[in-house]
Amino acid sequence: MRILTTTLDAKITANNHLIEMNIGEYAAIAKDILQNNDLQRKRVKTANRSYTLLKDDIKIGCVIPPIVLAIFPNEKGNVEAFNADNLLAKILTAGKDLLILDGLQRTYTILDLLAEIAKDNNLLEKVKALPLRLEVYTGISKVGVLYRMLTLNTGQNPMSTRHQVEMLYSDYKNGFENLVFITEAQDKVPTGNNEFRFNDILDGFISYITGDYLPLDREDLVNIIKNLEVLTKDDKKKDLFKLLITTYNNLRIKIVELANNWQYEEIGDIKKKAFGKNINEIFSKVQTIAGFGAALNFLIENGLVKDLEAINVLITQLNGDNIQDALNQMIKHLDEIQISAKKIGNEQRMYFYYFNRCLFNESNEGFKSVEKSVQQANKFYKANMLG
Amino acid sequence: MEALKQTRKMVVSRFDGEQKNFYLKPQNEEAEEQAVSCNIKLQGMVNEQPLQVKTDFPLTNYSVFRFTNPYLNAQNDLFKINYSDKSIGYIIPFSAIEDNNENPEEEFDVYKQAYKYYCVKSIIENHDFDFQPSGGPIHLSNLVDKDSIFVILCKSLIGDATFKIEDCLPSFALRGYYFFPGNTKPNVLSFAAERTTDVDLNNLIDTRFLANRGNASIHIQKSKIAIEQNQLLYLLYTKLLVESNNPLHRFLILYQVIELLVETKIRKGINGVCIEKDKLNNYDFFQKLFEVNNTRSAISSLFDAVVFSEKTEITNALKDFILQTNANYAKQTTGDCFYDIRNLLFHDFKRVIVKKNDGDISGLVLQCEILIHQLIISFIPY
Repeated sequence: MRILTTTLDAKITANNHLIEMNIGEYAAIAKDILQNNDLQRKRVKTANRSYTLLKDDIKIGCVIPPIVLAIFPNEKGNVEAFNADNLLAKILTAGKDLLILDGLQRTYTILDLLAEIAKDNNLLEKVKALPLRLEVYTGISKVGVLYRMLTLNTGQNPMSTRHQVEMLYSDYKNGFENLVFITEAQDKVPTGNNEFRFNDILDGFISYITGDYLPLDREDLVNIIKNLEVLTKDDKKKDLFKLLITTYNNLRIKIVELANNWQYEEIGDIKKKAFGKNINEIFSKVQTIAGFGAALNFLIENGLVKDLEAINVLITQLNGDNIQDALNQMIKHLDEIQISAKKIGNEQRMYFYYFNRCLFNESNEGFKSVEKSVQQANKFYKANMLG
Repeated sequence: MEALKQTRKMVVSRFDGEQKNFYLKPQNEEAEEQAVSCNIKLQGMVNEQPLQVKTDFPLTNYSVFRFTNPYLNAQNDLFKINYSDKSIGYIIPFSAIEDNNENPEEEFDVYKQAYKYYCVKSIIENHDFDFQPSGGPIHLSNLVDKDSIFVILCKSLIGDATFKIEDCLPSFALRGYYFFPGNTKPNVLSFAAERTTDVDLNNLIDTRFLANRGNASIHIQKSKIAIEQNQLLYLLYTKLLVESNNPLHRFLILYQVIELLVETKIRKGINGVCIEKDKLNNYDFFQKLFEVNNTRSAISSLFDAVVFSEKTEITNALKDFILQTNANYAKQTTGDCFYDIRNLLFHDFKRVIVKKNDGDISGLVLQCEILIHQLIISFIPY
């Protein structure tokens, strides 16, 4: 294994090291990455015939186009300095910090081939000894990783905005300050009392970035790059993430306080299971979080509220007149949506989008009033459904 | 000249529950070449016991048909299908096929999930895929019209060798489910699109269709006429009803059913008179022939033979409509009212416009449509 050249990538201010190693050495590194790095994109197995051809070509000894890796910044966002002396040693043991930016399918093809020929020692040794070139980025920021991932993979399915956001905020996956985030692997229902699903929080943040309360299912590359640009305006966006989630939590705390131990009581006025039986349960749902994020984007982008700090001020001024009746009404509205909606989750997101838009918009009847915002949310929701 | 796009069928080789992908391969080949993503849950907990959907039954155990419904089309409009007091399948709107990540605590129903699984498998295996596979997985929604509602039946549960879905189409249509084959356009979805401004029509839809939302199942039954063997009825239920959104046109095609059944009815009457002819003098013979050949009385006798719960209510609604144009109208029977509605619409529509400026007869036609479906279900052709 040796470094052939080192070149500065001025666009992302990172070093690109061209390294040569053999396939056997790369296979060991790749396994380490795939097993240990949660951020690595998962395999999308679509068995393209060209990879079957590539396997046959490797057996003969073809030249494989370089695979591109990056040493991912550590949790504090620090970028380690590497040189010819320590880089090769780092690569060999850095599985969880390394990311395959380009060449994931080629990597799987190599690993599949080695497994297939494992019993043919001669062929195995021949293939493992074949040279392979890697480009390894060091000193790269998270945003740089995202940028290069997008530009290197333009011909393939682009990395979604969601995946980008997951990467950028991965070090918050367990929470911050007094907020606890539950990851998918923990498979636990959040209480909503300072405890939320990390995925739902990301949805809320994406809704804030894009101004859209709907989940991002399929995006085109133009939108993805546009969203990346929003995210990369400056690296302080990270504070924005914290500020948005803290604001959401402040709203929850304020409504808990105003609602004075409100609990939804089953009296047979709804047909399905209640959306939530208390404020924390309501606030633990992704529909509530996404509606909040998208509404705040609308308010700020349209100059109706200056910024998130201003929202925090408004939260302290909310009034809770008839709030218990209003919350019972909210549960009924959400129940009606559950019965008649073509897409229940999406339409409940829309309901919360309007609820928050009314709550913080000075020119709306619902301004600072939970009771009136509940009424307004239902009115706007219905008007929208009638087209 | 543009070359025809080459397509091919694929079969599902496996479902990856973690990645939520169906992996597909061409028939008679081993390599997977395509993936279709669909968020469907095949395992869950019931009473703290883990349950898993069995995915190894052959698809031939099931029949899947596509419908659409202008009224019962919400994500939660999932119904079991009851036939002869047995549950034989499921009605699944396309919007309900994928499981809801937003309600993860929703109770797991292994039967419902199995029906969803085989429904998706059938959709995929009947789809024409491009020869050139796409790079990544394609989403199920790219293969299906979003207004589709699937009816999936488990053949072994039907227990009736003479069962044909075509014969059940009138009873599906009674609940607003219109058969929606691949070569049709679901214009019926816009039939009641303006209903929010029409209180009466709104109430009618609530009572006749949306009231089913409280039920766990939809009951279907066979019509006594073999729909598939009757060209008009087959066309009506497989094309005309799903494609027509204009109330007048809809009434016109529905009325053709009356023409068809009246002809059968009159022919039966003539045969009956002919059998008796040797016992009759010439005057009585011609008198009886005249009686059986009377369209009004033939229509009345058609409806007299039909019994269903909404009959009186619908008859009153037809009568009320006629009363708006003729305050002295005094006829009472369903057949009379239906025939007079026909005369009004076909011969004197200007009187309808005088009373209803926009000439909107959607509610009226919907009532007539219910009568026609009930008539077809009950009519004995022999």
